[in-house]
Amino acid sequence: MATSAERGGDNRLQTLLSKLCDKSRDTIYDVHTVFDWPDQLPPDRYLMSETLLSVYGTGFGADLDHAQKVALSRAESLNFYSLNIHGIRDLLTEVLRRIYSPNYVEISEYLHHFVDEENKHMWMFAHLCTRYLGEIYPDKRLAFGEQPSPKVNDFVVFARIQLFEELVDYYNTQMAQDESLPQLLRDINRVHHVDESRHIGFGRELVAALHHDIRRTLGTSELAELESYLKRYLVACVQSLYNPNAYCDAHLPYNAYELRRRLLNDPVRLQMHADMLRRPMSFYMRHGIFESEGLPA
Amino acid sequence: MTMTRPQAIRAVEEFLLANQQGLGQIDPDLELLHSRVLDSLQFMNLIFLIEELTETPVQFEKIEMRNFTSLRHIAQHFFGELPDAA
Repeated sequence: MATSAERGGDNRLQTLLSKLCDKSRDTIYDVHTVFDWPDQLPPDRYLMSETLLSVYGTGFGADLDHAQKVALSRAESLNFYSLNIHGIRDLLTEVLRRIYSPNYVEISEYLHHFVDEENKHMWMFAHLCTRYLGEIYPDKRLAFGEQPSPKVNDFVVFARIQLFEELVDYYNTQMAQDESLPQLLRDINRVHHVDESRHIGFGRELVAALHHDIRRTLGTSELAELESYLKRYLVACVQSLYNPNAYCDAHLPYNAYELRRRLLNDPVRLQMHADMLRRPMSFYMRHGIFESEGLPA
Repeated sequence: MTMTRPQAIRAVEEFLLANQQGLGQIDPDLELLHSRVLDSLQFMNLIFLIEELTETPVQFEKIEMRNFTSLRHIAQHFFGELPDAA
């Protein structure tokens, strides 16, 4: 990433980072004491908002009774927080690899807050999963193969972090306000949303700056390839919310893999995916990172 | 219904071909990763397909990349127990 001096004295990112650091210091909390952890979660209540269930809006969802949907909400809640845990582990690894490296000295102070807050998030999600849901679903992703140049790699890494956070925040925002959920779940989603609002603000600014840098050296076809890759990444993130293991654990009366396939091709669900991704897509279009809004099938 | 080994291999081949324009079939020994026929963004869906075909969860902690380097390696590692014919 170009330094602020190289960017011609543009201190927009520095001003934002200063504000975000102040905000992080002002709102610091102890993750071990901020939540009230009950002995157990009510067995008959949703743990994920009904409108966020992967069957919502489809014929499959309409055919399930309340008990089946509650069971699915427990399994999909476990899947959602497990994905968060694996995602945070990956992003922490990438951020720690860069902190205090020459290109990131200017933002290292903020990255300390970022690491601190993400570490808290990982702990609260893991504690929730292991204490009430008995496990953490395994990570079924595997990174291999792609080795772009360091500058492009930095852009891809931070774009992936930001896009994942934006998708998760769509869920956090709704669940933080959903009174059908136990108080603990609302609180966890609220705390996560508040912290992530800062991380997303930072991520957007950084991603736009990094893309501005690489746009000067990459050709049209290479930029199109990056756009294609990030869109495929977004689709993969959305698809990870449809986990056959969750359908099995909820004892749904369908073949779990067939159900996943049909839900991922359901026009109602595809429209919901577009709604989930509206804000980041709009940002990427506005900044010329994406040339079109279409996502691959 | 249990799949036969040729059916399972064909299903994986069709999965891989879905993102490959102009490729009609995949040589069993084609290097899938270096040729970019398989990349990390497809991996989760491939794992779910293998689980469906074998009716067995993939033990992720035992996964090694060399088992995914070619269609032949995938078949040997994951479909060895499937019957050759129905």
